[in-house]
Amino acid sequence: MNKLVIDGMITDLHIHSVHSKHKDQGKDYIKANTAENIQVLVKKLNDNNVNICAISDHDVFSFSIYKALKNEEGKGTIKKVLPAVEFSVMIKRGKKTKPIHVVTVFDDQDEEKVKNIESVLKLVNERPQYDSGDSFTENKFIELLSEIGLNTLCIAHQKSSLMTEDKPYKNDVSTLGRDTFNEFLFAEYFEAFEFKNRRNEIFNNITKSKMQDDLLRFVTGSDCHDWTVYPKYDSNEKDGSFKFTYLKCLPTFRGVSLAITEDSRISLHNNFFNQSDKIIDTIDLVIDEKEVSIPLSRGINAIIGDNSIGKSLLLHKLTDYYRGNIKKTLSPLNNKIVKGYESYLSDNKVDINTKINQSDIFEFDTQGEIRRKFNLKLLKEDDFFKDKYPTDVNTVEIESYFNSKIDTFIKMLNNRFKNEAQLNNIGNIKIIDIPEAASSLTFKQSDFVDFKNEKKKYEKIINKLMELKIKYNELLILIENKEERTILNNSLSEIIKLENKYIQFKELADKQIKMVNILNTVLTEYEENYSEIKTKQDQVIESFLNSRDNIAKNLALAVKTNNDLIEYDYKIDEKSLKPNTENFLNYIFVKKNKVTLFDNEYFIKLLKSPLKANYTIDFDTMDKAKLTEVLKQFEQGDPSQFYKEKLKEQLKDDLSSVESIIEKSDDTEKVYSDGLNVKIYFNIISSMKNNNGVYLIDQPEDDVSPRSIKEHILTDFKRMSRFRQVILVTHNPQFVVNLDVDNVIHISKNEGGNIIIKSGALEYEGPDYKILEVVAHSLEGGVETIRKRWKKYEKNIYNKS
Amino acid sequence: MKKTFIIKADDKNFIITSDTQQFNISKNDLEFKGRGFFDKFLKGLDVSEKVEFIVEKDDSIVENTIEYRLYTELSNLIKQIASKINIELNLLTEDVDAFLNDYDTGDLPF
Repeated sequence: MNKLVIDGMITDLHIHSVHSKHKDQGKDYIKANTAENIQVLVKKLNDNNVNICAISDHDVFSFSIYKALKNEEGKGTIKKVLPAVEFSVMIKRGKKTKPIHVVTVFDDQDEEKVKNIESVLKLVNERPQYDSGDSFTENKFIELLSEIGLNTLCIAHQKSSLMTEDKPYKNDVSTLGRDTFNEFLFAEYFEAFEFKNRRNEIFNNITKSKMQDDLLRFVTGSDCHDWTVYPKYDSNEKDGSFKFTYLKCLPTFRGVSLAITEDSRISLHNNFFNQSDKIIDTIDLVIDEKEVSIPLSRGINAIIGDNSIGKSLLLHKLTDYYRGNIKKTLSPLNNKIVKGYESYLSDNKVDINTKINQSDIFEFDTQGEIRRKFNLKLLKEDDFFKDKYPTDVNTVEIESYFNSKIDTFIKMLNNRFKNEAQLNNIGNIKIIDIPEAASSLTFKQSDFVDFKNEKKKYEKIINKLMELKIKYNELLILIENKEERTILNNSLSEIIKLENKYIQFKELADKQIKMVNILNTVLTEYEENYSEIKTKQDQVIESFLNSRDNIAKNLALAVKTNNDLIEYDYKIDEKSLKPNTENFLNYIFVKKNKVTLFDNEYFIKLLKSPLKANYTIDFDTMDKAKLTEVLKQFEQGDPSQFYKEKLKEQLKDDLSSVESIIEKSDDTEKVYSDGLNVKIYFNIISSMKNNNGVYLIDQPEDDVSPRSIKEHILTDFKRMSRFRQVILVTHNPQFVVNLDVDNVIHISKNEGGNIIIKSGALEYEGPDYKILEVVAHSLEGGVETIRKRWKKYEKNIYNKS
Repeated sequence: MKKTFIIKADDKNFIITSDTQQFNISKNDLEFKGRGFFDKFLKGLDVSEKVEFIVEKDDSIVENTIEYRLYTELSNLIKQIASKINIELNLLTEDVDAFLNDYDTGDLPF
């Protein structure tokens, strides 16, 4: 038998024979469904490529007819025939008592017990031993199953859609009402529900999509009562569109059990595996001079085993220590590790001959690598995430507006401080009596510093206007619309006018500086000539005139600084920044700013941000001393310059871009955490169907919660396995059992220290080992996980450990 | 902008008035307090155009006396303040042009 599932198994576990005639009186054609006529059914089964089948008569079992079909096992398309019975069970819940039909499939391994089913369900007066009308009570049903003593699978009758609650089909579970249906569903009373009509398929999918977990599993059953028209119910059935169910399993009872209890293993289309050519079929090794070939599934292959047994090594050797393009910025696998791996292989006499071509590798995430990708922000350069985030929100306008408001505010403060200082600096003068005959021999050079400052200011303005001109000209190259070009040209000509005006101002300042220079030169010359003939009186007068000059100048400067005082307008033109978003899968990738509303309240908060708390600040009266006192972290220098820098830093911070991801299902914005990162990462790469190649990952369970694994990540891996081969290393039983991996590769050492490899589908039971037992015993928590996965049957096997 | 100051004297003070404002200089110490003068006459001064301070005396000050000479010095000070304001606030555009024109022709105003 194959170790792996190669293809979907066409399955029909609901076929009736002549032994159902007690229930289907009046349907004479059923009488022809005999062991003698089994070839009629066999031909039909082969014609329809059925692989797994069961005759499931109403409340009765015929070993002979089972055996007649069983003999066909391994011939034609039929790979497995299972014993089954369709039980009529009277279910009582509250005031409702309804008979429902349950197709019960039994394990076929113990033929004696299978034979015994007939005795347990023996007819009396050609009628089953019902204890409630034409049905068994629920208790009786359970008693019968117990008496039969075989592992079972129960598939409840649900022929009609769950969406047609008002008109349930006779013997459907839904006749008992929604509450009871839900009870069966959540308690997993039945392994699956059976429907027939193809039209129900879409309604079933809608119902399933509304439910958490994969509790609702549907399979089809032909319910054929006339083998000659199989898979129709009988010749009267007009709907010829019966769709067989494909199960992804090995053709064994355990395989069917696993498949029917896992939604991803059930499909109406044979689409379980990718058809990519970028896969590897086997891992070929030589262990202690013996050639070993491990078959690989096209789906998910999980490598398990003890720590340091060589699982990660196997991935690295398969990829020939490949680290992928984006990993240039990650630390490469260092030589020490490579040497360690090679000496381990040599010590254990192992050669790994299979190599995956680099072009056939979709991605190889080594242990902890996804976290590193996020931490190092490599994903922004990564193909996976490159286009997921939108561009940054454009903040130029707001930044420029508030920078200008800050500049004006600081200028206002500076002017006030200057004015304060100047007023305090005016000084006094004692007026003296200068005799009329005295003449001043005092010469005073003029100060032209302010003319120079004026000139500098004009030059700055001219430069800014020139920059604007360049920007306008750049826009004119881009914009073709005639009207828009006219607007731009008009604005440009206004800018040129302004520029010319300031050029004239600058020229005037030049003239003023020139004039003062001339005056000073002349005065210096005069002073030098007369300095030698000054009298004492001259010196007194000179001192007075100097003081007068100073106080006059100080008063003039005070007028100037007073004139420069600005009445500051705190009012803000309210502006807001909308986030930029990009939709991808179930996520909205968002770039927004730390602050999004810029109003008066924001501006006052901004102005207060560099100041110590618990101070009452009145910006209209704040002087330099007060500012120095209330500034946080200010030590020395110009307090208003410090204040300005802090305000601009805060503004920049408020405008900085913050990335977040919104999950559409819950509309909550989520900030990156390692767990969320990993979840999103898997969700995204599992949707990348176009990039062919094998996905290799070492321990996908890292940095993610068991709940997230259960609720999200396993689904992603299941989806991914439909279009690419996955090879993973794990210690987490969820990634083996709940993921229903297609192939388990277990590496261990025997008592002699030799490497031993066991592999196969979860349901594989070979002569030397059973994979589920291997998993149960080698993974921590494996038994518990299998127990939960395995639900009600066969659990005793794994309770031993 | 023209602004007229009237200076008068009583027994104790020189009194400078302009519009409704008044500023005293004690004859005891003849101290001209700059900040006081600013607060009375210069705060809020219209400097949109060239400033011209006209200083006059009233009859309380008689020519050829010490009081008159002190009045003259006060007057000089006030006029110098106007001159400095015009320089500081760059209000001498026309004067500068005229000066430079004269200078260019070699006709210096001295």
